[in-house]
Amino acid sequence: MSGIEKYIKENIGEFDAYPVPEGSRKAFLEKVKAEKSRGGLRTVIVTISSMTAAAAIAFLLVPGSLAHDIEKLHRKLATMEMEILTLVSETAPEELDEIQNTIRMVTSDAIPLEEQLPEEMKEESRKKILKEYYDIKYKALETILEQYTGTY
Amino acid sequence: MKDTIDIEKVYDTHSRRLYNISFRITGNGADAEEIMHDSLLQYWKFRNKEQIRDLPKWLTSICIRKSIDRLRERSRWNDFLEDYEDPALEEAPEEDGEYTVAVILKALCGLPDHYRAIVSLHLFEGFDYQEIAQLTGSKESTVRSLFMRGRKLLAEAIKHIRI
Repeated sequence: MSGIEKYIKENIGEFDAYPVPEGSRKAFLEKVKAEKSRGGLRTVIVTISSMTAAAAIAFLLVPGSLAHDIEKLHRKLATMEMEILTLVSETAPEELDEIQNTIRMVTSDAIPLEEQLPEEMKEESRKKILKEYYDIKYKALETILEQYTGTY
Repeated sequence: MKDTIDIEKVYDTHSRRLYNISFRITGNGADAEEIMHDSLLQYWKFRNKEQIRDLPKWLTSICIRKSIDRLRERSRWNDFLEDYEDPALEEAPEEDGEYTVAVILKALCGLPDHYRAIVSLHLFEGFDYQEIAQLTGSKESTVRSLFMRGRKLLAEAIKHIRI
């Protein structure tokens, strides 16, 4: 071990010699305050997204058991969407936008599949097809959740 | 309110140490201050604080990674490492005389980025060559060689400052 190394080892506690610059504490607390405001805004965005999803479910409600199944499938997706958005709500705004876009690509349909199925199709077949279709979307959301919260 | 008080306590306890760690790696006060702030902010935003078993170690690790990232941004770090050819390892000359903290820090800050970072990580933060290689994305042999040359440059710089 060289003389320098020995000296450093023996006096390691003294090497945090420089005080933090004047005003640094105040500047840091300002950053915390700014982050808090941004966090609040993101919470609002997440809440609005969730409310929009819930409203969309309400519009799909029609009497009958098939409608009940459809509502359950949509609710399952909306819950997962809300879970993802809550978990990632503190990520940078640009990344949050990317996540929301990805979720939208998975969950949005120009025309929902339930409206595309022929009316003459039996109810059991419709239920089976819809369940398989929405299960794929749900699995995609699970992958998104794993991907983004895994880096958290 | 409570978490603001908590982060103030964490700031008061760790800011100076983090500032100095980053300063020894980056050699720049403004960078070190920003990195110290960012490291503490990352802690403040971290949801699962109860999972942190050793806060000083956790903060140090964040601070070191951010400091290395800063060097990467500003000093063509990867290009340097790709172009770097390991010279024959030279033994550092025997140093003599008295040292002071101020002289060593001044000499350290005057070293080129790559040497300063690796000397600092090895001598002050206690990382071995393999750990530094993982942190910096370099080969272990390159780290060893950079450290040897960095230590030699440090000894020469100290000698120069003394004169």
